[in-house]
Amino acid sequence: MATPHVATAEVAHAQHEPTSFWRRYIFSMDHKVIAIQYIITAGLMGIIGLVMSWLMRIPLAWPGESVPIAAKLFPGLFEGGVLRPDAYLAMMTMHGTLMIFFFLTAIFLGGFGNLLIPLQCGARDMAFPFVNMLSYWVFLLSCILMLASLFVTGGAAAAGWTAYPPLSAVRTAVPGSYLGQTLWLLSMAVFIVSSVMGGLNYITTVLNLRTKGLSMMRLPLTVWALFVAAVLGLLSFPALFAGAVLLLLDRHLGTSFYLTHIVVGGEHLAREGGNPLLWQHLFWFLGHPEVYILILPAMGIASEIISNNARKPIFGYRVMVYSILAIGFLSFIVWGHHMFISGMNIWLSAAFTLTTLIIAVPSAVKTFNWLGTLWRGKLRFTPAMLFAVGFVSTFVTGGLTGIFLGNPTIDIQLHDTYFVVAHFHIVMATSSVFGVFAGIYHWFPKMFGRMMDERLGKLHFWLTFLGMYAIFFPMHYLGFMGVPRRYYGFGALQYLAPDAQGIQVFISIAAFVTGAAQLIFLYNVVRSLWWGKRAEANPWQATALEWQAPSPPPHGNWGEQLPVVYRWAYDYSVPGASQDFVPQTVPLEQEPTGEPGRHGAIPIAAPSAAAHAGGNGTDGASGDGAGNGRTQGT
Amino acid sequence: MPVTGTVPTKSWGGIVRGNIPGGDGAPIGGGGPLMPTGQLFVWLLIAGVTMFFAALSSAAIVRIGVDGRSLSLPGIVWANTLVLLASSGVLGILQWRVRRQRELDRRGQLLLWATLLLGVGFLGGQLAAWAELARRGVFLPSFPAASFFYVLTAAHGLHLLGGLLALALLIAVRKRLLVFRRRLGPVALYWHFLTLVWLGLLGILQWR
Repeated sequence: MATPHVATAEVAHAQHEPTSFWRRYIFSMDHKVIAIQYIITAGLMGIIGLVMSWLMRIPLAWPGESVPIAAKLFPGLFEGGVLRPDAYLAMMTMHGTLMIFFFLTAIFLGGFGNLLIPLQCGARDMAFPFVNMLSYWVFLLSCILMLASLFVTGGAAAAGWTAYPPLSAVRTAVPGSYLGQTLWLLSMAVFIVSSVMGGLNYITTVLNLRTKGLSMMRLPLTVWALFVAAVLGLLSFPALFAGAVLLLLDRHLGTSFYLTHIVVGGEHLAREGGNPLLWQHLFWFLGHPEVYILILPAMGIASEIISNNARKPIFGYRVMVYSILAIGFLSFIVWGHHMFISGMNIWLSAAFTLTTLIIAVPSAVKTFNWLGTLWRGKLRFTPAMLFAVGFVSTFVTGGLTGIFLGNPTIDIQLHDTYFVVAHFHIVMATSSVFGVFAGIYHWFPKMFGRMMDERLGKLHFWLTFLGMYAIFFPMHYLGFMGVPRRYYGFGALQYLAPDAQGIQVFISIAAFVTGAAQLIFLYNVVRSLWWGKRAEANPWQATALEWQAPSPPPHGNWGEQLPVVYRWAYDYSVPGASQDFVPQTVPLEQEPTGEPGRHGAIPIAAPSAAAHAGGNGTDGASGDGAGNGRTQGT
Repeated sequence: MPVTGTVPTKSWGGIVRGNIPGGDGAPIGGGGPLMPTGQLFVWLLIAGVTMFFAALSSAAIVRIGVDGRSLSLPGIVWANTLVLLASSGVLGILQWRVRRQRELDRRGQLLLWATLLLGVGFLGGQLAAWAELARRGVFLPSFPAASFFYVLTAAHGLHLLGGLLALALLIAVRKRLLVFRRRLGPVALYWHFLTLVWLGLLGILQWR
């Protein structure tokens, strides 16, 4: 029953699989190879970002204390065994930049987007494979530029991942404002070019290359989420690009877009009338959609994995799609909530508060739908499922504090404190990262044809889950105590409660332990690649198209003929079906479906010729699910 | 008889088709693509480029407005605008001819070259406008309206350079009629879009 059904239609393919090592693994145009290239590169950037966070946690917990090991490993950053203040600022900037753009954005869109979109759409590859390859290599160039900035005079950029002027615009402001900041801006510009090339590909592929029978409302939620995330990227990154161009001109050609007549290092700046708020608007017009670029794919991955491992259709599929669209739209009109304390008309901030609170509605809808899917499911706690459920948990925790911060009255108190660090790290660093882990555990067999070790995966989950809460939850308390974020040293501030430092020590230790726990994951990946159990095509008894291809899928994914889709991607535990899952490629006359609008369809003896005729058929036969369910049900 | 096992062809956005790697995708019955892949690509590109110019021009409106000083535009930009409009018009006539005649005759080729040359002429004219400003002593950092004149014309010019490259590639395939006809639409779409963008930018630079 679960055998893939393929179109009898005419698709003659010239599948020229490249044979040389270079064309096959390095300059490959195969979306699966490019996905793995993205995942490995982004993963490395993530590891570097993690080490940077460790370096920052040292002086925060033990201010002024000498740490000879760290100083030996990173001699350029330490002085007398202590992390230098300017190095701290550079680490903070680079940690945020690497994690948000070069790790999460790249691994979700470049990694999972490349892996899943063509496979789950039943396509052979992306719409423009060459542009796809180019997108990866341009991304790699941006990574190199960004990392190179660590080694130039003055060190890496130090104006924060938001690169606010004047720190980012005046070359003499701090050491990192010199060459480091220039490289940061160039790297970001190159990164944006790569993202746009990728985004054009993902959107075109979803709109134009879906296989026969796969209407938009039959797509797995992963594809929907990646699709909307790609649209967000396409529409928001150009705003940052524009802002970066103006910033480069301010830095190097004497313009006054963001700069005005200020005194820097005792010198008067010969500029006039510029306004740093202009940058903040341009930056956050990207910056807020960007966080949804990082959370939407994690939502899609969680939806897919929760449905699969609860052995239940996703609860409220259509509403899930509409919520993704609503979140995508709203994400463009909430950016002002990052600027409540930058000086904003009170009516404008009220408007941004309203839109910010409204975005909680589709987010809550999704959360309830995940809970609805889990409710009374036959839960299978694979590592992927644990991370997906962990995603829901942390998304709720981090989302709730977002509602706090969406209100200017509270935000003005908390904005520059650790409360904000807690909020966005529980959403981005935890929820999104759990989405990444869930996705890797789930699709590893498809990528590499090997199973990952489940016990190690569970150990990894529990250490990470508890560790992340241990790191980030206490930061809320620090925020309430008034501990400012971004500061290198504030141990001696008189107004802080004495136990604030104790909490900092606890957080740092938790960060070291949780970070080290990721070695279990790396070990599991490496071990499984070589010695993991061979994976069958569909180890998770899943319904979506990628599981109907071999593990790993061959070049061109589908052999001679493309798959044909007869149903949605969530036919789990359909009453009357012979198994608790029905792949999308199984015709309706063989198995019933639970697809919305087709409820009650049960197997009937319809001649397959008629079904195939319908396959190429008219609108009337297809528009409402052909009335099959209703006719049968009544 | 109840009908089951049908494949929808036209539910919402329900375009169904197969594809071949790297190609435009061969429909395998049922529906067709949303639009030709090249055309879709250019529409998406237009969306991104629109956002880029929207961001730049919003910044211009705010920054120039706060500053209050205005720039009297070099006279040549009006001539340049006519040249660009003419290039778009010529390309439009070419599209119309190709649609009607289904071939690219000698006159059609002339129109293609004319579009390209008018485009080059526009860019040359824009450089002349820069030179005129420089003669007046107005440079990039002088004041916001001047800064934005340079930035917006440069940004538009660079995008137009891309359009010129696309036109040149179109000229290169003019003998292969099928390929030419498939590419003409997307290239022309981008070209007309850049004309529209220029009219918008001109409006901002003149009246802000």
